[in-house]
Amino acid sequence: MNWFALLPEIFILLTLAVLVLVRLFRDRATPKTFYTLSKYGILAAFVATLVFYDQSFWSGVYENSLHSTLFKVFIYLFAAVTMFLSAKYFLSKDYSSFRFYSLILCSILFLTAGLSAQDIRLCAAVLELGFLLNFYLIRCSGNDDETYPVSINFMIYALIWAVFVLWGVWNLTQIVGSGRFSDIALYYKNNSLSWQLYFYGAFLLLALLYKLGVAPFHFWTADVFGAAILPVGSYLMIVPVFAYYAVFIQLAAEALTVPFELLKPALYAFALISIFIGAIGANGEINLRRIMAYSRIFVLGIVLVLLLVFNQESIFSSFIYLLVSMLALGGVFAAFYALKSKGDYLRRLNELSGLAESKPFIAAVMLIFMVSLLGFPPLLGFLGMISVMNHFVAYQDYVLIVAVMIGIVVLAAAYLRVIKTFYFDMKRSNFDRADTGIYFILLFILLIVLVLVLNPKYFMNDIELALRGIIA
Amino acid sequence: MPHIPYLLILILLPLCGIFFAMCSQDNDKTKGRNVLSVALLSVLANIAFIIAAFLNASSEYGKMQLKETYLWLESPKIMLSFGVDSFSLLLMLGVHLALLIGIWGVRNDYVLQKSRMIFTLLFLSLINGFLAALDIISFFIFFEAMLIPLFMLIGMFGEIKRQAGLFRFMLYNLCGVLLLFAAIMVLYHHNKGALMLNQISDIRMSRTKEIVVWSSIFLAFLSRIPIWPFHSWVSAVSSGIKNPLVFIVANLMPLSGIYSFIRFWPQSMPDTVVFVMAVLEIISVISMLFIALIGLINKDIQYKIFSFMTVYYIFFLLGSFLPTDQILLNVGFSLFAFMIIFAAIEVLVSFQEDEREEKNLSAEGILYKMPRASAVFTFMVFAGLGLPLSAMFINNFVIVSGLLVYNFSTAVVALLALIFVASALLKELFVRRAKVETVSDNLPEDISKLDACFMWMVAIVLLMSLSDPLWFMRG
Repeated sequence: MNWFALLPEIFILLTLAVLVLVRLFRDRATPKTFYTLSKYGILAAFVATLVFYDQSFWSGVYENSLHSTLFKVFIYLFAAVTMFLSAKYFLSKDYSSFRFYSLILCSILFLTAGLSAQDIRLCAAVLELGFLLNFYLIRCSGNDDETYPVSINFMIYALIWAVFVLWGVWNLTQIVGSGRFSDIALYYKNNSLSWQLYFYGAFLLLALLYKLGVAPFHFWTADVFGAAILPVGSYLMIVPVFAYYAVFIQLAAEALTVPFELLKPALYAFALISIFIGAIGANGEINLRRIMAYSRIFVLGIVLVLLLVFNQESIFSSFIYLLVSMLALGGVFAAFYALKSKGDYLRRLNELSGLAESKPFIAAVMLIFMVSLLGFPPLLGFLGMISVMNHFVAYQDYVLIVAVMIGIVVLAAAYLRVIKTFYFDMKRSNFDRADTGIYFILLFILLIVLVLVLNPKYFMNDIELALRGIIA
Repeated sequence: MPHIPYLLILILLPLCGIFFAMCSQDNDKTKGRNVLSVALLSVLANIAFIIAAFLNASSEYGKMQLKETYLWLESPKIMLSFGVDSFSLLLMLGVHLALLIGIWGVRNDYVLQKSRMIFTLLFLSLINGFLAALDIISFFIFFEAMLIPLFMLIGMFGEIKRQAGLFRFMLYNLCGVLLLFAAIMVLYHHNKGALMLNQISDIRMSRTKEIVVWSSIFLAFLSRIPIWPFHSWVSAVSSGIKNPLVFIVANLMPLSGIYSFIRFWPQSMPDTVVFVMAVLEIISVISMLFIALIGLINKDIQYKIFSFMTVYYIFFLLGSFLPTDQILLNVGFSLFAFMIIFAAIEVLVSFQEDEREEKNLSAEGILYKMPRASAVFTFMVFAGLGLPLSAMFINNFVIVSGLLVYNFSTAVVALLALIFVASALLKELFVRRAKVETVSDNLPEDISKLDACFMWMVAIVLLMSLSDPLWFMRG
């Protein structure tokens, strides 16, 4: 066993321990204290991940690879940004941030462990635990009336799925005699497929789609993102997606290839439903965070449909699209931190009328991020869209081209409504001054969205290299 | 002599202008003057570069010059290529002059001047990229991206009464853009790599594919031109705009449709899609006549200008479809003068309408008390009608003769529509110039001497273009 390979996880565990100790023994622990500690923990884990990217802790059970490192890097980066912005939130609200930061660290620990796991038992256990943990994250709030019913609903469904998944994993490993991905794949290949075997594998894949929030398993997403406090919403919106997406690819490629192939028609339907539900749902909302939640469903629908072909090009296209969309969604959520009036964070569309008049920069960046989400050139979103369209045309999937085009037009209608509220409507409320740090983060994301598109070839080459291993 | 990337400069210079405009102070004290100076300077600098580009190019139509290529993506391999011929350079110059006139027209409007100038410069940069695009991907990038500044300008400054109309207009345009995107990706794949605009007609696909792809392209370009049956969506927005600069920008969009048709729809298109040309010709003449008649009976001057412009745009479109490349340069010359004329007319009308609104005056006889405005307005209207005051005179004759030779019935209907819009404009001119004795002290204020001077300079540019707008070029 190579313990160095486990260093990132050890650093996170150590940070958690320090957080608990500070909570217990330090008299005055401000929200900033927990943020600072978590920040260093994440930084250490990030560096260790990059240094030991190709080392394995336990061969066949817990391995690091270029593929897992790529996704871990994005998880750490997005989590670090979320933590930074959350500190501003907790400082302004003067809440205790211990619960939030400790839960986030636990969540990251489980997600990254899931990425390195090569054994289906370990993988399912850490991912389910990480997902159930969200129950406590959702309840990190000063307003229990709003979050309590949402969190209970979330917990009930999450528990049902967890039971199914663990039952499936237990039975699968009993039949195969091993939990390793390679053994499972071999068993599926060499034996005739019984309906039990098919369902056990399918449960695992569908559970990941549930966690991602792909339709028709999307019902929890809009409620959670709409009701949870901003730091929780922004974390859940962006960070776990990378882990579940990467594990889905890994399972489909290395363990559950046969059930994945059989499941494709259903996944195709789910993807189409997601595209339409995402686009139409966004039009029926007046809560900005719920609009973005539906946009995420739309994005994931396209990502899923790209994955169905399942070759290097399709995985690459889907990842590029996912990444640029998550960057834009992350940007929009970062801007939400600046939307405050009389100390309250605003989320309803009508509260943000005339935003451009008071906060032109915030309105402008939101405009740019939303336009990027629609895939308009010359923004980074266009890179994702060209990747998607190129793939559909290459495989002559004209039904999907039409579906995506209709989806974009419908989603654009929702965004035009938001832009109209910001820019064309009269100002209704006075907005509080936003922290400089929020502007800094927004500028940073904005530069990525604007500059990366000028010369994306180097950035895309590196990602292609990292993703190549999974299918080869 | 070192190679100067003129076209990249023409795209980037307005973006630099945006940066400086964002940095400049825009408060009650400066009254938008700093931002305005930055915008004017950016446009003037670009005009200087266009003239420099002209001096380094030959005047031949269709010969792409000043070519620049940049590798953008490796997988899929996408090269962005730029290049211009005298036709596209001439249109670029026309667009710049029209926007210069528009910016001049809003220089005293201080409200949100910074945002207005930023979006205008963004539009300018994107339309430059569009006119300079040589390959289908860069062409599409700029074709689509132009919609954003347009939407923001109309929404923020257009004073559109019904915003639902603006939404429909945008979504309608977006549908067109997405159709084009799909068609372009199919063409790109079929060619297995970079595809130049002038190579599109050589591509041969299966019959069904050809019909679908070319129909998509056809609908995409049509979405930019207020043509029947969707003309009301565009006209509701374009004719309702009160701000002269925004009106000019919004009414430059049909130019992008016509230019796209000219670049994509060459003389030798696949046989399977010839029917599309016939359909286009039919709906073009119907639209011309229909819009011209509405313009004739409509009392709103903005609608009259809109109908004048639309009819001319469709007239140029018909001209560009004539089976000879020679006439395209005439279309370019005429378009160049046309853009300048409509911009000047719109700015002058906007000034009169502001005076009317402020002093509660009737349109009848308003120019009688504004001699400076009256003189320039009369000049511009006469030039717009095709009198020998600008490049429209000779070149319209050439286009009409071409139409008469190749398609007599189309030419007759087109001429009828032109007569209708000319009558509408002339009627408006005579009503406004009518001698009306007013007893009220509430007299309209004439345009300033500076404004008059500026407008006469525009008139001189038009006069200089009378025989050949490219008189200053070598060869």
